[in-house]
Amino acid sequence: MGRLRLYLITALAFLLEVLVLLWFPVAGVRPRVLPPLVCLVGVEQGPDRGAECGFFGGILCYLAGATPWQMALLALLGGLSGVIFHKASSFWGKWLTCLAALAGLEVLLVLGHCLAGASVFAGLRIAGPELLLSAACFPLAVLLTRLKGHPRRKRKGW
Amino acid sequence: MKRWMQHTWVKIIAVALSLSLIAAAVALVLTGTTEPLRGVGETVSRPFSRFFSLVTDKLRQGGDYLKGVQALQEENRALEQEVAQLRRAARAGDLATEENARLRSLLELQETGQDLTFTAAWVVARAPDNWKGEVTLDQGTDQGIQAGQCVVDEHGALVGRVKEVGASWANVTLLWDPGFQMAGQGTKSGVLGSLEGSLDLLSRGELALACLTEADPVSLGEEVVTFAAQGVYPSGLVVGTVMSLEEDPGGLTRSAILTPAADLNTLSQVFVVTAFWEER
Repeated sequence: MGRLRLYLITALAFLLEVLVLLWFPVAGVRPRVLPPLVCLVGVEQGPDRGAECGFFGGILCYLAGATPWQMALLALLGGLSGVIFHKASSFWGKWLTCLAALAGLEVLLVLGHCLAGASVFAGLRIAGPELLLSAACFPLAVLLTRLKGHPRRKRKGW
Repeated sequence: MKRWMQHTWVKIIAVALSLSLIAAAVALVLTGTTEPLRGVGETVSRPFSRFFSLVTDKLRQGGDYLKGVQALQEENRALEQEVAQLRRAARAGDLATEENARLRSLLELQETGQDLTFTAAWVVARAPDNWKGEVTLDQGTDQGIQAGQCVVDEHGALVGRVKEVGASWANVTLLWDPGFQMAGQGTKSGVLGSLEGSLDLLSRGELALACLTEADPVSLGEEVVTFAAQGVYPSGLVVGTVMSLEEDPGGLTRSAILTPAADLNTLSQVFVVTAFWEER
């Protein structure tokens, strides 16, 4: 995937998330398509592209009002997804690896809020539904990466 | 270790972490004012946000119509307005006011009252984060909005406070955001407490009236309003209703858990209290 196409897809996912999905909460939690997209790019394209996608997505989220830690967290998500889960090849395999990576992200978020004084159960009450909704948006992330209908390029060795 | 540092993705993460630390430090220093980058981002995105919020609002309305609840919603809205009017009348207490005025004139005391100036604004975006309760309005300093001002809905119920503001936009911290804090008072018991949001209550859509003692006669169903001793913000804005009482972890104090009077999930148009006058 070329760099320009990567940034365009990330921006499209961000716009979809901020302008559409945020207005339709499920059980008080809003679906997110950017984290599963970052995971998918990391798994398919390698940790470099994953970290790049996450960093760019994090910048967009920060400009839209999210905490500045989104930049570091999404970049870390993309990079580590590519490092740890690079062997996933089937659709279901990628879905499972994304679920695992997103679970790791939610654990970090809960830990961060616990350090700020919140209780673990309070964090889990938000992290749990957020994880499930993000995982449910994985097919949407796959659709975004396949927009032009081009087959996925072989990932270069890293 | 050196080999790890040579990887591109490690460098990207290091840069991202550095930028996050810098941005977090800037946000701490510039509390209440606009961070430059975010100000640019908000100004550029506002027209698109406004357009999409209108579109999604219409889609939501269309969906509700198909479900056949449009008429029910209108009736509900009318009834809510009527209830709000009746509650206002009850609070004002016509008879009590007249008696109060007579007594004041006997004692030669000044009249009390409150006058609020509102600026209407549309909610154009929500924070892209499930861990915060913030929304963005399409009005800013050009329309007289400043940080710290109260925001209410069409019934006069408190929605939140302005957190940061640009020329043509403003970020509002909602009642149930963990960073929200104001003084509140029970209308029936007169008890004073601290209105606070928390992460635990955020997921339940509630907020707390904290720092209450066992002796405070707060009752279930009691209405809570804002209280400002030094006129920093207007008093008497309806916040919510007490649904339950919980002991605080330390066991020395307790909190009244409130359900907000405003529907914070379906905000579209709100009103910022840009000026107020009150005399007690």
